[in-house]
Amino acid sequence: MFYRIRSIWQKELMDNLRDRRSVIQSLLFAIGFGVFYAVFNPLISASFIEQAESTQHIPTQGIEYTTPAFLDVLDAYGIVLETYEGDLTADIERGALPAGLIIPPSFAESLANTDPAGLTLYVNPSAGGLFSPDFSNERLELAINAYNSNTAVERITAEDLDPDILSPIALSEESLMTPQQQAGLFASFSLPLIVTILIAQSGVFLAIDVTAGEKERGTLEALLVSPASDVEVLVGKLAAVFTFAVVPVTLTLLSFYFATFFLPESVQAAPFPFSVILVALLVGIPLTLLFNVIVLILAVRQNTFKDAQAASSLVTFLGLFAGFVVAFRPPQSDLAYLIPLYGPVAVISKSTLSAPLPETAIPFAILGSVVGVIVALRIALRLFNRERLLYSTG
Amino acid sequence: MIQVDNLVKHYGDIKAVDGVSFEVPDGQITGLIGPNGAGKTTTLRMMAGLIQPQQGKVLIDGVDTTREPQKARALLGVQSDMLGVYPRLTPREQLRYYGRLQGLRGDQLEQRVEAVISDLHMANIADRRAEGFSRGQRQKIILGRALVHNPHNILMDEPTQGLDVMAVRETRETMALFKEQGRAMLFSTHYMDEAERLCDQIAIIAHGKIVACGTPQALRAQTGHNNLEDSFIALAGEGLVRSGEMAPHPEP
Repeated sequence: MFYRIRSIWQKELMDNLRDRRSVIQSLLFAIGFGVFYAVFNPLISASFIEQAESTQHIPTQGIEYTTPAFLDVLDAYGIVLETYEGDLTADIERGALPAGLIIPPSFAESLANTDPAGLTLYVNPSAGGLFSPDFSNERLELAINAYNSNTAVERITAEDLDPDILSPIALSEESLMTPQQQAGLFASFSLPLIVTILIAQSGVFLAIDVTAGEKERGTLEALLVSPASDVEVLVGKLAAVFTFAVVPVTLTLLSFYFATFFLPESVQAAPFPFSVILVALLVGIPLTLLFNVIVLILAVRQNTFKDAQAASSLVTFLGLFAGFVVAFRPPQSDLAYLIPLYGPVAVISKSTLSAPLPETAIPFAILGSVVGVIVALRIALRLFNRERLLYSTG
Repeated sequence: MIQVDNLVKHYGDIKAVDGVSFEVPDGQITGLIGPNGAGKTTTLRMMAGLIQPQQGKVLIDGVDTTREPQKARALLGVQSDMLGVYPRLTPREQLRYYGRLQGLRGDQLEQRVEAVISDLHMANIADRRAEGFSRGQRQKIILGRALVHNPHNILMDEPTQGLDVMAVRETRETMALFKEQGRAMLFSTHYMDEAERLCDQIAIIAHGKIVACGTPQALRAQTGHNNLEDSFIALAGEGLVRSGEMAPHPEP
């Protein structure tokens, strides 16, 4: 039995290693993708760091109406107001500027009269792109809050009152999130999605080639008149698909880690901890096998390569679906990690955030995938009926 | 020897094969001929174990294809009408692959591969990848993989279809060689002259039934015609008339 399985496995590997399309799809694409993400993630991290550390220039109209004290506070928060000559609101609206401030002529006078001095901030977060470091209204709000507090204290003190009467509850909030952690927040959503899609896609080409491709070539009938049993044929083909899938998945995950060491310093940030890569491998490898069987199920009844490609696109949606469900509904109990697809994605997501994982999370995620593989294999075997496989019309 | 006993296969209301019985004796070439859609390919596929009959059985050297499919398939060499080969593998690699699937290994495998390459005159193409091979070259691979385990019983579905004259001659010589070697051989064909020249016995199938079976001479005698083509038309036509597919010819 194992001799025939090994023969089918060897043949499929040899055949597909000679196929440039299979190699590109399975190896180069996957590894390139890993390197791309490994570069992309530190870039985002660098972007957040730059946003946090760089001076913020805000195009402003009416700077002449402000006060030196207000400008000093802004300066302390790394904000510089710059005179803007054009149509500020129109330019912000069309996305040419991310933000702008309008200071009314009455600003200084209102402050002096202890009236509320109005400022209008216009923002357009779409300007500069999702990860643009151009503007953070959070920093401006902090600066204005600081100015307000200082001014209120001065005014209360001038009236011989205790400034504490203004603060029945004093909430002191300080974000301890580092820019790297902020980037990790993004990675906790994007990495599981990317890893899942990568895993889902990594064996697709070969899975189609060994099923619908073989049927389309007209070689399947010859294989099925051999004494190889359905189980031997299916397991041999699955083993080849799994081998072709698991190698690039492993290399890709490793490249996430190692690629950052080869980046220029300007974009370097903390690489993924190796533990994240290790966890992703632990839960990702059984998940790879599960996706491989699912693709075989989808492809096995198709008559042409193109039909199978269309049917197999479902696995990408499965991966996306699992990623989004995890992002919006993280596991509420340990048992949730047993859910195939969902469990492994949740484990990767949590480990990317360095969040504590329940002790059972990884074993449950692996177990869920293994059970999924067994069930999917039984379905695949039922579909691997020679007569229906060869002569059904799909 | 192959024994086909009362094979039945229906697809809904369509009776693709409807009680077919015949024998393929050792050391003889048996032809299965019939019009398109008569049930030839379905019969061959049931004999190869690719389709399960709803009734009846096929015995390959006494082994039931339904009860012991793997054992039966090991006793059988099947040359399909599908001309698919693996384009990225050489003929030698393809023969090795099918040999391994038949359980051959080591020296025995290599000897059989060499023997097939020699018997089918494939030495000049044996180590070239099959991509771009002609129909005749692909036909050799297909025949080779059916023979790599040296089966005693051989099924061939339209083996000379679409081949050039030289390739047809080579295929016929190979079939004659199999006969000399004492193998039981069944082949389907549309070429009457080929059937007449090669076959020891011919089974004519029409609308899923065997309408006549015998030597070419016996079939000619049965219909009173001088050639097999006329005999075939008469017998197959009768079969179709009996099944209601064709109106009887008016008497002259």
